[in-house]
Amino acid sequence: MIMDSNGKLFGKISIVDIAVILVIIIAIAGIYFKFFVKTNKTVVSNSDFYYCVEVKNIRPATAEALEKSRGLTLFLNEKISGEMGTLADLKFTPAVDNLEMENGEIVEAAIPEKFDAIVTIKVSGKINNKGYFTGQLKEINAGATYNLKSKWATIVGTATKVWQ
Amino acid sequence: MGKLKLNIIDLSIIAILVIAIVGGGFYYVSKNKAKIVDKNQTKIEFDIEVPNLSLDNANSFLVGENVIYGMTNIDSGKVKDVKVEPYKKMTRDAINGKYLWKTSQNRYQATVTIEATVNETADNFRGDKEEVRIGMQMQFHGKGFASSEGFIVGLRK
Repeated sequence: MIMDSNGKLFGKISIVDIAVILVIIIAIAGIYFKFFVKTNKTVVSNSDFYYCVEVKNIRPATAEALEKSRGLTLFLNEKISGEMGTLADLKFTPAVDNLEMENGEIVEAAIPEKFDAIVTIKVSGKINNKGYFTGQLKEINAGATYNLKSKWATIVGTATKVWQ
Repeated sequence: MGKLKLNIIDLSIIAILVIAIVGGGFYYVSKNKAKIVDKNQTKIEFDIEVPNLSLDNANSFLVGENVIYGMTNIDSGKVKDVKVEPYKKMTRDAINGKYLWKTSQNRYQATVTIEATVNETADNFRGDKEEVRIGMQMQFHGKGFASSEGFIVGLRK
């Protein structure tokens, strides 16, 4: 028998005793956390903010796919995904990269048939004194690299600025 | 060994457990059924550019063959078109300070167009497991051919 007619588990322990002990433990833990544990409460506000991602050396097909993605949601292209904002604006320029010449001089050279892009993304997220966060609490920082995907394209780029 | 006796309280606990398990099962099945009904099936074509191949390898991709694409070995499609051309590679001209496309004399690249039926949502085109997007690496294989180096360079409905 799991519980006998007197309400005892396996004929030994009263379920009422267990319930009382549990309530006392929960009450003690609650009082301890309320009055003795310091918490660093951070002021969080739900706000819109923007960030730019610089994407280098993409094919014309990827540029066209990004154009189709204007106004669509971007997601993190990793195992654990999450919304990264809406594609608000795009600027394309012919792709360039630094090239070291034979004499050691470094010049900026154009890469034919490729583009660089500045992707501006709008986020409805959270801002506090620690930083800018997406709705799913992914932190957005200038200098960080993000692997992003839209319905049509996947890109890897580096955030260059974040602002409200 | 004593005979197992169950009183009314034991039976009540067992009944509650059975109801919870059955209810949970029905909830799970109905939720997934709703997801399946929501899917919007679309026929798409996507182009995978496979670089740096021998001519034999490039010619091994055959129009009309069935292919499995992606990492999970689940999603399938059919080769609709194959375009073979000399392999183009980006090179540096360190004397004149330029990047140039150079065409190989003995290596080839193939652009393989695959036709597949996927589920279209507001955020993606997805087969049973694989999402399809321009710019992503996509492996595929069929009868007597395979590629693990190609990237998707085109996608259309």
